Amino acid sequence: MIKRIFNFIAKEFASAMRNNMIVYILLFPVIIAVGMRLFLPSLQNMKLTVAVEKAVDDTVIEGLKQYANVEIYHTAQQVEKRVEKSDDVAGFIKSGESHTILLEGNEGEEAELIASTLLSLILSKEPKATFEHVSLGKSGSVLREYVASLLLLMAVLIGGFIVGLNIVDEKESKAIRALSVTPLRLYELMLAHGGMCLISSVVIGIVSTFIIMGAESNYGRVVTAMMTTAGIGLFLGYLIGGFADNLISAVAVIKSLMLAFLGIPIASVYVPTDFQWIFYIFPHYWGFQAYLNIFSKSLAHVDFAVANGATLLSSCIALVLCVPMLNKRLKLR
Amino acid sequence: MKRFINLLRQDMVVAQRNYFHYVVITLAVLMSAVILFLIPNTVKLTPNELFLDLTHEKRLEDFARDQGTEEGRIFQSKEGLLEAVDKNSNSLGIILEGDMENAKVTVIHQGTESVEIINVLDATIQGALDEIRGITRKANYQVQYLRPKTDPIPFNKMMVPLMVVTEAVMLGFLLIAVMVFQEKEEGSVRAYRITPSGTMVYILSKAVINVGLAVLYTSILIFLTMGFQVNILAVLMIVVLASFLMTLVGLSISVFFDNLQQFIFIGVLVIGIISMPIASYLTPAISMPFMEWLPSYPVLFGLREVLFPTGKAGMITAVSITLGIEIILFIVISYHAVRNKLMGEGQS
Repeated sequence: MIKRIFNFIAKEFASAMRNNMIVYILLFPVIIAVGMRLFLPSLQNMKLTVAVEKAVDDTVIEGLKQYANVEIYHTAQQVEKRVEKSDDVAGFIKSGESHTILLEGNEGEEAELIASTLLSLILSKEPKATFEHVSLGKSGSVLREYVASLLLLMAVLIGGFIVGLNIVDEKESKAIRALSVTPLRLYELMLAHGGMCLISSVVIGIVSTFIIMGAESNYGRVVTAMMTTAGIGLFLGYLIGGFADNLISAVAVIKSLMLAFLGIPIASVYVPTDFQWIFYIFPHYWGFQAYLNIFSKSLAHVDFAVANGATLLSSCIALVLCVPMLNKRLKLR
Repeated sequence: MKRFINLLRQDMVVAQRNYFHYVVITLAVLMSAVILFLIPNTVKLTPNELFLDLTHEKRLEDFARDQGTEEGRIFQSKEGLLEAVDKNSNSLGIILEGDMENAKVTVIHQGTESVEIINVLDATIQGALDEIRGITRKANYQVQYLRPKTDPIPFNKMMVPLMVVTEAVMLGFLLIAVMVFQEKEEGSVRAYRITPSGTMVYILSKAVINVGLAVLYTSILIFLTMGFQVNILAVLMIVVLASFLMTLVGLSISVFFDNLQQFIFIGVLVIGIISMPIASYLTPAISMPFMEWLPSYPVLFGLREVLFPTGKAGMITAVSITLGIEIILFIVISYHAVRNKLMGEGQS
């Protein structure tokens, strides 16, 4: 049995090598993670932007620089043009002896309040409260931690894509019929696919984590989490391979499933703790909690061990539920 | 023209046989249900402020409650507040001490925020303290709106342009690639090479199918989520151009790959890059100029303007012109790519 599983994995890897898949598997996280690494600093240092006419008093310009990125324009018309662009940028122009805040009209509710508060604080001489800042000194960034967790989820899902698309390919090339007359049993096929999904997920997961987070992450936990969550990828792969009979229907299935597979973890970030139970039945929710635990305990709702255990249990249940469908569609022994 | 219609008819048969239309109808209904029933009307995207009012009057605490702050964000001890801020990386703590006339405010932050954002927080706290005390600061300024102020867009409805871009527009990018790989595998590309129809007919026929599916998806989504009170023609014009453009982009890239397994990586990467303006769309107060260069940026904001009009003159024309220029560029690129890689393969 072990020999048959390894033979099948070797066959799948030979096919992957022939299609240059290994190169893509390794290249993909590198490109994504490098891209995110370049893109994240501009998001991490987010600040407001304001457009200011050059004629505005220096005290106002210097004051605004304390609060926002200041773009200076020579004329009021240029400021107006900048305010009209799609992003929400407030304009400050000089009108005789006073100043005018220019807003487009479609900004968020708080835009006028923030612009007015800043300008009145800069211009007024009335006393202000004493402010003191205490930093918790966290070096990471919430965004970076979320992105790294989502990349780990992507790593597992890519493992699932590979399994799913391979099944579709085998269906189209009728190779699945050939498999059905070999001694290969369904559970052996599942173990072989699980092995493939695991190897690709671990490789992609480690490479992308290293690029995004550097050497500071706990790689033992990364490998553990990828091992316990590989079942999620396998589940996705079987949904793709089970429901799709050709590449076109595979894309349709992927499009529909990605909404749930990426949407649920993202939605869980915005849902208050009291309502997290809504997501408990989804294995990828638990997987995402396990990933969050690796990078920041404070972002997760449960601890690492619980998240991994729940992922393993729920993805095994999901895979067991897949068996009748796979039996019917793949017709293996 | 006759050749184009013949090929289009063939492609339509293939699309129908593969249930493309059912796929987009199902997706449109599914997305509409998500927008209407799962996404809330309001979502707080900025960090959560947690309050501790140590003054006798507790006026900041009352003010926070009046503003709709949940009880869970109002604390009674420093330790509790510190623990909560430490536990939730997306939060900030505000402690008020002394009295309202000589207030001392301590802001506890994570350490990852920019100085400017912390200063803006100080300013808004000061604004709130002034409001509590009934003080209006003497400052000589006025606020002018370039156009009448519009009502805030509910968060779930704000997702409609996003769903159109991520599904109708991106679907064209993926489907064209799948069409190419399917035809390669079935050998119909090889057969097509010996017909008198040219490369351009091949490209346009595929593009029309994808644009048709995008129009079908968008029409259902818009009618189900926004009703019939929108300028559907303007919406569809943007979607037609954007879907056509993304089909050409997908075609230009996919011809360089042998199968979907190979393409899926680059496909996901391109979709990831093109999706970046979503960050700008969700947080428009933060200006990210480099995103303006991506085709999805004008499409997202153009659709927002059509669906939630603010009277921005010339916006739809500007979006159409931008997409038109990009389409011309990609017609040239895709023509050469298809001619050399797809139609030319196997020729010695």
